[in-house]
Amino acid sequence: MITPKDILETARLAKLYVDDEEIDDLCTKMQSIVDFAGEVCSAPKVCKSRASVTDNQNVFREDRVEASLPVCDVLRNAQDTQEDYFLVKRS
Amino acid sequence: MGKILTLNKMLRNREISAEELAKAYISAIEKDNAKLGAYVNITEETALSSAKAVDRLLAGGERISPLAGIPMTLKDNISTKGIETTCCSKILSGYVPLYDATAWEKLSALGAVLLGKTNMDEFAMGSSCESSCFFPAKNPHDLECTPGGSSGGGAAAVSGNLAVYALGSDTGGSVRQPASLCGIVGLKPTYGAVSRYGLIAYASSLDQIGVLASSAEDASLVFDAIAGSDKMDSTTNPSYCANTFSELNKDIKGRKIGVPKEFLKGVSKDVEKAFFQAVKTFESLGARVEFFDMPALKFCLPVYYILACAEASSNLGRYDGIRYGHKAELYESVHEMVCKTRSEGFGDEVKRRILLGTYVLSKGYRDSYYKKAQNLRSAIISEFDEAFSRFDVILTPTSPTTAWKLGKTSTDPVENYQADICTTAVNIAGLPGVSIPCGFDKSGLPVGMQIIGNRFEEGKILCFANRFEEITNFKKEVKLGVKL
Repeated sequence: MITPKDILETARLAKLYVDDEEIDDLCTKMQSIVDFAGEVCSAPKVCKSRASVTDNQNVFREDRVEASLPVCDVLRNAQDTQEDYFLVKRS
Repeated sequence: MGKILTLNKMLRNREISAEELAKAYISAIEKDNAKLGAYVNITEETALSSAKAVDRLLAGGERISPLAGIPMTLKDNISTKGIETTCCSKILSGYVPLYDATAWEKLSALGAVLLGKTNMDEFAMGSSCESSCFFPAKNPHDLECTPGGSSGGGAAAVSGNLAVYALGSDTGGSVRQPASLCGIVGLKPTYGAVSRYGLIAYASSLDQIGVLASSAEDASLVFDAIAGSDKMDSTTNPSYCANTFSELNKDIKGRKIGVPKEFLKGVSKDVEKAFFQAVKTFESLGARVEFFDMPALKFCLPVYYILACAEASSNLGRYDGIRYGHKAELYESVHEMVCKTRSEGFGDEVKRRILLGTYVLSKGYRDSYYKKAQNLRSAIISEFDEAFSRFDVILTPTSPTTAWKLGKTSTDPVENYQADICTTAVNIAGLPGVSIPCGFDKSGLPVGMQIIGNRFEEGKILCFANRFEEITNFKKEVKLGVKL
């Protein structure tokens, strides 16, 4: 049974706030979704899990320095910057 | 001849210039987009600049690609350098990518004319295009109905004659289902056939960029242009070289089609009727159809939602207001800023999916939900592998229903998830699937069917689609957009 405490803890992990007005409705909806997803719990375990959908192997490249995006471009989408840095509050 | 080759011929014969063609589409968008809600961003300058470049090539006697000068559109989760890309989410408002998605870069290099960015469910999470932060898109066949989702804007644009073709993305059916509801062709490639570089991620093991077009031939031309390995996406197949266009006219006589009985449960009477008629059509072309069981399919929807939401909860963790997009204004700490930004910036469906994803990955639940879903994913893949040892292609309805009225999408999220019942299995297994029109319901709304192939057999499924199109006519004129 999904409780408001479960919702608040999951929201904390997901870095989301949940208003008091939202909690009851979210509990109901999340219960419905979790029950639906929980159908997998009762399924028998079959065959070995795969790491990937394809048979591709991981790829590597030579550790060579290549051109990067200019810092000024990287900062362009940020609301708060200072010199070559993204600006955030200290704590 | 499909629209792309028809227009290509007109351009080469100078019956129309690329600039005139672009202007015709831009003018139609200005007239009809308010009704359809297909576009969220119209890129007139970019379109005209590309069109003029194509005209210069033609004036110089240069050979052009079939895709040169053809007006098209991109879903708003496909990165376009210098052009705002929002995923139709408040949290990405104002975000301008610094690079082009590889799929778009390839088309741009061939002279494609980008008309704008199309509407979608927020972060590709939805099946009705109603969770867009801007406005809902509408179905050109009935403006009171949804075009489907999440690539609803692209489907509406192609079906409503406001673009010749569109690129969308498909994680659980988001190209195929809107194609079905709008009466057009929607191709979701094999996982790894098209680079995901520049596709803003929803669920990385399921996402693929797909094609929305008005015929199998058009879809084939676009797919051949965008497919291939990419050093920027290590999940692309290193050796796949697409040439589906050359396979379109192969004979399908004697080929075997499998129909999983599980996909026929819960579909509406109109969809069932059109689907069975389509089966007869394939039989008339000499194909052999057999109904069979795939018991693991009954777990597809919960497996999909567990895996997709788990991956989404990780992928969407990057949206914190620090580097791009929306940022909360009032806060005392970084933590508060991040939480407020995300809570203000994401819509309800996105938040629910992040919460589900976080829940199924959390301590105490990871084994019973996420690991179990991964295991069942392997079972679904194995069942498809076994099926393809017997059949050339698999045939199913694309959507259990035709388009429904806007605003009637249920408040129960689980009920809404049922719209994906025919499509998610294909993403889970990483297979290619194409939806093509196969009929209409009693109200005249389109019905689609889905042809699923084995990995990297896009040529085969497009061939089946093309042969079906040749002897049927499920194109219905809509009084919108550009008349060619």
